[in-house]
Amino acid sequence: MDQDREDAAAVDAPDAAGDAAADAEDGDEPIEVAGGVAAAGRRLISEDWAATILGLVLLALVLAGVIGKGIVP
Amino acid sequence: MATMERALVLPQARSLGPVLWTGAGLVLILALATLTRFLELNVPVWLKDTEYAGVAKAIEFPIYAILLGLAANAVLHGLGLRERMRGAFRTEFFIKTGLVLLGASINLNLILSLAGPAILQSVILISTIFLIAWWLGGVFGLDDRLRALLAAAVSICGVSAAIAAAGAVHAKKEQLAYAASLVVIFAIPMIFIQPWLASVLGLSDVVAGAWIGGNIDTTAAVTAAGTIVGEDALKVAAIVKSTQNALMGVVALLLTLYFVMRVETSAGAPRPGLGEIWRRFPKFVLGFIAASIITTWWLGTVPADQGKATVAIANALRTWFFILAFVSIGLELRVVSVREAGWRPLAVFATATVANLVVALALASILFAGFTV
Repeated sequence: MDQDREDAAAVDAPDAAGDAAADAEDGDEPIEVAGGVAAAGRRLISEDWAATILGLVLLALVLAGVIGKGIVP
Repeated sequence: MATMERALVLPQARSLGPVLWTGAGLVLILALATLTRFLELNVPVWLKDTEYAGVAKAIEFPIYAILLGLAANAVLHGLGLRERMRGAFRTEFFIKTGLVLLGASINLNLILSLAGPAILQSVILISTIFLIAWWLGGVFGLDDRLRALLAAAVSICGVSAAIAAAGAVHAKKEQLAYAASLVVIFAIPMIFIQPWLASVLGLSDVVAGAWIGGNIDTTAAVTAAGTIVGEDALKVAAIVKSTQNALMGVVALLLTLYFVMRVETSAGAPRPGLGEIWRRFPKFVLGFIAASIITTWWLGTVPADQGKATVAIANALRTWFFILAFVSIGLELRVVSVREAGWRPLAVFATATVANLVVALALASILFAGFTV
């Protein structure tokens, strides 16, 4: 994607996207949110990888017997 | 009352850093998840000898988790704290981690046998519903960017697709906020309505799962609805939804190309490459498949009893991540941007959702009729 154009877009992640709404909603001082759609996309991608790695690590620990029956309620 | 409380709380709130607030949010989510587990286990016991025994037994943990999340949302909003804790409300992260763990309980052969119909269903459904929503957006006179966001969100996978589409078409901040809000507002009722409709229509668990996976927009809501129907429906719904997620990169690339060539034509503007598909590809799908491959192989190397007990631990972990995600759904709900955007985008999204419901049901009934889990 064209990085310059991407950075120029004033779009935040869905959670960040709610910021403007939330500001109006709470009658609060604006909450600074860095980055536009590029930041939102990067966060989504890194969250994606983080979830993948955590899920596989947990599975490995379960299969290896490190996480046993008593540990997970 | 709420204003007075906020006046007392906010000065203190501002003195705490974002990390502390995120930590407080995590503690809150964990507490609500624990309460969900407690209610799920104990309410049927408390109501065992009453006329509500059947209802109490039928209520699954997604319902407790979402309702507790919504209640906490209202309280935090009233106290002016919700936005401070927002960093902890990671629905996408929790649900994706849970889905990777879900892969451990799905035999690789099942994924392979369902892959064909799942891909076919996804391609037909995404194309049909995207074009219907796009056309409706034109009929209602919506801006092209908002049309693209709503069409992507309703046809693929909700908020993630809306973000991908927003990047592709350079949507405005308010447009993404609006699309994201619509997705969640429509998804939450569908978590309860679609399992009920599947029961009324007498659908098998496989067809119900394929219908839910094909229709509901957000992955977390698909998981919640699938869980309510049952374990088999959950597995099929997860496979179908993961397939849709995997196609998100292709749609983002096509949207980018369309807007560069037809809507925002400018000389010398670089064209997006195929790398865009990989960049947008949801990596958790790889984790989901990897977990299935690893566990399918591992189960062949250990006695059946040991294998079953070990997979049960992975399932328990998965359930905790699902609960965290469902609590977060309730905590993340916002309605302000929907009120501000007016009725026309709402009408487009609602109509496209009904079309999605009907087309997904037809496709699930045809493509998944002969399958068993």
